[in-house]
Amino acid sequence: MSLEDFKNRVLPVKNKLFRFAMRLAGNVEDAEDMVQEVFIKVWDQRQDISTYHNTEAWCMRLVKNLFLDEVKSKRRQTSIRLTEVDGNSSRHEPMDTQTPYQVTERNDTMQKVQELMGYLSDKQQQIIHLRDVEGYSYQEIAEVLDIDVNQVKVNLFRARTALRKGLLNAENYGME
Amino acid sequence: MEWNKVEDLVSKYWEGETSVEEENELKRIFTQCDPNSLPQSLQEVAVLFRYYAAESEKNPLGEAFDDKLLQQLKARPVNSHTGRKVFYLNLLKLTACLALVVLATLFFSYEHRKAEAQRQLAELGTYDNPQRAYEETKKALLLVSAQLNKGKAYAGEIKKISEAEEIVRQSQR
Repeated sequence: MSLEDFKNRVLPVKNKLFRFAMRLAGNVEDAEDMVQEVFIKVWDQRQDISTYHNTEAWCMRLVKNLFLDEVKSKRRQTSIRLTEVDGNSSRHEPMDTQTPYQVTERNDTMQKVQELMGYLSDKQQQIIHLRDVEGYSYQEIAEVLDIDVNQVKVNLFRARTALRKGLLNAENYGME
Repeated sequence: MEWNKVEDLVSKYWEGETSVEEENELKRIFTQCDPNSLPQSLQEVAVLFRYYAAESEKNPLGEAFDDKLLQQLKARPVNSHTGRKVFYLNLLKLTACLALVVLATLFFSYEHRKAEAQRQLAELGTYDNPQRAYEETKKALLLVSAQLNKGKAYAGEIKKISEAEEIVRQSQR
């Protein structure tokens, strides 16, 4: 594989890898380092790349394994997941129809969802991220996390139920 | 917007029965609709889907990251592990091929020698010395011949009895 092939075939997944690394590591610097390390690993093993039928899932799995290695070697702290909601997240909103009050309320709500995500187990957070944020199939998630497909389904169901409960409670008691 | 259909889809989502395509459709609906037009029952799930959509749109790694990474990859030496692995793999293949050729040669050589020995045995009989084989054959034939002569003597006596029997039969008539 040439550098040009690498640029066209592998590099485009960089932001997916970064978002997953962020979910695991919890801070930008570590996430960026992890993605860079993963790409270097992939480059070093480029001769074996054809043996993997899903390169993207393989890269995601490398991110997860790298994170676990880092945790084991205690070089990184399993930092909290409650990172601040990015200001870019407002790009979907029809901003011209929203008042400043609505924008603030929406940002607060996003913050609340982020907090609720923090209450889920690590595995549930990873599964929710891979499914609901990145849109992976159950099979792909099972490959990335190296678990059974049924485990994926069960954890996803529990995670969604927990988030729903949390959102309903927040609505009943008033979101701040 | 037919909110009833959306509500059905959301119910499926909570049950974990939606496909990736249906979930993407929900993401699209909740991010593109006017939040004020949403029914109360869909407010909380809309928040969740907007969050997911916002997360999936975060693309912080730009060209600067690419340039830095590609420079690093360019400067990277050829992986010695990979080179060594390929070398050992090729060596293993070569050894396997050689072993196969040697085994095949030994097998055919053994088979050939075995067939040749059998052919020679077939030509010489059970003795590998022709002179000895001749003597043994002569001995065996003499033995058979002696037994044959002995049998002939007995046959002569039987003939005499038959003649005597014939004489007695004729005298009775």
